[in-house]
Order: sequence, then structure tokens, then C-alpha cells
Amino acid sequence: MKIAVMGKGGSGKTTTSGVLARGLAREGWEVVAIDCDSNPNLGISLGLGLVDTERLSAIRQALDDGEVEHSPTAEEAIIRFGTVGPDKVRVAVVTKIDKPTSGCPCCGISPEQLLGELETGRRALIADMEAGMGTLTRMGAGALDVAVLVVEPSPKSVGVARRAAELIAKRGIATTTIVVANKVRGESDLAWLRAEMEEVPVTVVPDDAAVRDADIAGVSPIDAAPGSPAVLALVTLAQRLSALAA
Amino acid sequence: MRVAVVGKGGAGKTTVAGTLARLLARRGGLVVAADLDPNPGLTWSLGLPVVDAGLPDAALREDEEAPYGWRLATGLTPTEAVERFAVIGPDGVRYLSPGKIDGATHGVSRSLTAVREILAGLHPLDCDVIADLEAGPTTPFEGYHSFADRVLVIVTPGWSSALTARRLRPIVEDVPITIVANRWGDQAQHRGLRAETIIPADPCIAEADRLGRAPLDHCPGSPAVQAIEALAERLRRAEGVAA
Repeated sequence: MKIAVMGKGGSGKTTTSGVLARGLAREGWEVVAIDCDSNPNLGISLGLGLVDTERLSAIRQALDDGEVEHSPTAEEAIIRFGTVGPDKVRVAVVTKIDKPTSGCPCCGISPEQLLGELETGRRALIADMEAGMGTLTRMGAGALDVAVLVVEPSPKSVGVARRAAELIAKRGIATTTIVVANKVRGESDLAWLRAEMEEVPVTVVPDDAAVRDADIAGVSPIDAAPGSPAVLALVTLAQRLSALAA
Repeated sequence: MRVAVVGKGGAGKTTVAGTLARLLARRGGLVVAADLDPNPGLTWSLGLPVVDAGLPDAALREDEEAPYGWRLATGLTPTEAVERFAVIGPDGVRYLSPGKIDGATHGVSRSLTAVREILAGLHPLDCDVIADLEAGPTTPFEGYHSFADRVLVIVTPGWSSALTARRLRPIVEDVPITIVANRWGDQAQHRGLRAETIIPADPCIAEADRLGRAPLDHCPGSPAVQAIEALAERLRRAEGVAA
């Protein structure tokens, strides 16, 4: 199963990806989480901790620095440069830009290439995409099983998700598209989002202080507040995705 | 002044950029506000209707040696480009749009290249420039902030924002940096990221976001807008010192 999580910056892509990845692992999937953001923070939401998140090598820059002699396959790259976190989720970072000499940020290996080359089978690949639509515009028909569009109740956020949904439908990029309505505070938020997103099915993740507190503390919400409403909603979505693929 | 605004997605770059542009315009003088984000949102905080189109073909010409193969049309100066192609918004702010990404990236890329050329070519004495950059480090890494004489790094409470700011810092520090703490409550400041300006957490701004209304129109006089007003004042003073 190949899943990509996308949306506007700040909508909650990384939190959603991290909790979904852990939820899928608990459903018995071998999970590979791919951080496709050049500002990689997925490790925190997976529960890896701040130090190990910051220590993870990005595949792109590691290859550029000549850390390996031959060009590894996608499979070798996620083993060589990835690490394994809680619930045995393997995480790998595609590219990381943190200094003026970080090399060409998009040469050599790309998120869409990794997603394309990695085998799935009884394995779930979950890609936390860069904010906006850049990577999506480089994807073709059948690239994904599931596209998760994370939306918060604001016109800017909905605008990005609608354009993404249109492009996914036009090119046939994903078999299933799901909207995660995040930070929803009540019925009026939800009614507005449903009307804006038209026929795309919506999963509600309530506004939840536990998620903000987890970010402040630098930990995963699934570890810090496993019973909180937002975490429960995402774990339920992971169960649904699991059933969908079975 | 020429300001580039950077930070993590959702940190509040667009809120700060649009509100700052309008507050500077109210103090007099021409202000150019530019979206350097292919998912543009600056129209919201400026109080403009959404602008879908980027610069028209008449403003561009092909040039193999230019980035993405496009540059400003022959004979079109940056000042004329603003006069002819910027959208005039509330308080007289001139808005330059890159257009929207909708599957074909090249349309946006060529418009973005031309907008950058305009910003780099505008004379600092003719106008103020405020540009809202894409979330994260990619476009700063590509030098999108290089037109500026000041980079605002927007940070919010929380570790993901602090990590982002720490990674951005070495990338943009070829230009003087001001750290702006946004949506701040009573948290301690991030170590090594001391903010000169603190914009308080303000429910009115969140409401303006949900309603799609400009913060300056929806929340005039609110604590957050007052803090951005103080930032405008501080930037003006810094400019006077530099000159």
C-alpha cells in the first residue's frame, strides 16, 4: 500500500503521517515512513525524539557527500540511511536542506522516485510530502493507492487541497482520495469543509490541545496522549486504510 | 526596505507579510508585496480577492541563459512592470502574483523568475518590498531572499518550528535576520532564537484565517496587529540607522 499525505504548510501533514504510520504498524503492517519534506520533522511525530530526528542522514545529501561508493537501489537506501523507531516503523529522509552547501536539493533521488521503486506487498509506504503541490505535479497515473489531503478549516488550506484533489482525479494518481479535516472545532467547521471539498470523503480529526502540547514537548502525540480525540481519530483512520487494502 | 519572510509552513509568514505591507503603506510611500510561493496566499492577508494568473506573456521573454529560460520582456523595467502588472490592493499596496500551480509547474516557474527579477531591480528609494516565501528551506536555499536587505524568520512555539528556524538560519544569514515569534503565549523563548518582536497568540487572527478575511480588516487594533505595527516601526528605524 502506498500512501502520500499532503496539504498546505501547517495543516498537520506530519502529525497525521506519524500517527497513521504507527497505527498501521499496530495493525500488523511493516511500515516505511518516508519524510519527503526538505525540512524534515517526521521523526518527531513518529516518536523518534529530537536528537535522533536531527541525526538522521538525508539520502540525497548522503549520496552527494559520497558516503557510499555505488548508487544504491531505493531498497538499499532506506536500509542504509533510514532508522527504525517505535512500533518498528522504518523512517528515511529523502532530502534535508540546512546549510548553504546542502547540494542540489532535488537532484539524484526524489520522493516520487523512491515511492515508485519501493515494493509494497504486505508493506505500507507512507510519504509525508512537502507543503503545497510540488511533488504531486511530478506524479503520474497509479503512483499511489491512497492520497490523504490534510485540511484545516481555512480558505487557504482548502484551496491547496482542492487543487490537489483535482490534479489527482485528472491524472488518476491515486485509487482512493481521503480528506482529513484537521483541527475541527465543531459542526460549523465541518459543514463548511464538507461543502468546500464536494464529493471527497472526509475524516474528522478534532481540534486537540494534546497535539499542540506534544509538539511543544517534541514528542509523538501517540505516545504522549494515546487516548486523546485527535489520536483516536487518526488510529481509526489507520484501521480503515488497513481494512481497505486487505 | 526590502524584506523577505521565511519560516515553517503555518508559522504565520503570510499574516506577517500582508499586514506589514499594508501598515507600511499607511505610513506613506509605495509598497510592493510579492508572493514568492507557488501556493500563494498573500492575497488573503492583503485583503484582495484571489488572483489566479501570474505575470502575462507580454511581461516575459524566453532566454535560454535565464533560470527556467524566462526573463522580463525586453525594455520592460522593474518599475514599469509594477505599474502595469501589479494588482492594486487595500491601502494602495501593489501585489505581484506568481500565478497558481495547477499541474503545469512551468507557468508558475517562469512567472516566479520574472517576479524575482522585478524585486531585485526595484530601487530601494522608490518603494518598500515585502515578499512572502514558500514554506521551508528550499526557495531560500535557491536564493529567493537575495533581493532583500532583511529576512524575517517567523517562529512559533513548538519543536518543529524551532528546528526549522535553526536550519533556515545558516541558509539566509547572508542577509541580516530578524526573528519574529508568532502566536506566542507564555512559553520560554527557543534557545539561540531570541526574538526581537513577539506577536501574541490572538484568537482574532485565527478567526480571520477561517473567514478568509485580512487580519488588518478583521482585527484592527488587536494585540497581534499592534505587535506587527511595532515591528514596522522598528524596521523603519533600523533602516534609518543603516542609511
